[in-house]
Amino acid sequence: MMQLRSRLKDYRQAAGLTQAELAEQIEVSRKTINTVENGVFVPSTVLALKLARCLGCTVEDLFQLPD
Amino acid sequence: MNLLTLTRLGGNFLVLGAAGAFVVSAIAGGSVQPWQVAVMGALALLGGLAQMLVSIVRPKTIKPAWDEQTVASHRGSYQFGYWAALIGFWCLLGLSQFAGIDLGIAFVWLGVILLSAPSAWMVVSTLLGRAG
Repeated sequence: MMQLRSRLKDYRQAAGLTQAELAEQIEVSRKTINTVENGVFVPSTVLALKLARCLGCTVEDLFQLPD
Repeated sequence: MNLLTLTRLGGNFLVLGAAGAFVVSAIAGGSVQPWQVAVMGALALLGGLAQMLVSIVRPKTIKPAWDEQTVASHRGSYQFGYWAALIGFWCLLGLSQFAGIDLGIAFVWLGVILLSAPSAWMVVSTLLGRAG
């Protein structure tokens, strides 16, 4: 059951970044970006905030609870 | 996959390879000896040493290789290792009591389980993209 709905991929692509480029900027593995985008891995608060800061949006823009 | 992740994966593969070789040897008619478990332990230590060296030579590989998803998978490997050892203990105790397996041999097999279970978890996690 998906715990989190993610729009990370949309914002990442809008920023013109590949998964690898985004991963390098926030110092995580590309695989982690991939699993967060697919909703497989739920990021910590710190990681979510880093992603939001890097992409110039809010955490709520990137992640939502499933309805 | 960065160098530290590859090193960790390689070390875990070596430990699993040794465990597999001992299992095949045991099925072929031999039995696992204490020195073989010591070899597995030595391989695990060498793997750890190799990771430490890579971390020193390439410090930029550390954060991606040990990001929070990898740390979570690593924690999972300990949990898996615990349950594997617990179930293995009860199975081996039962075999020693009711199937005539020597307690010393059973103890050695428990060592094989203890060493290989966490490595197996990490290998699968890495290949599934759950450990960077």
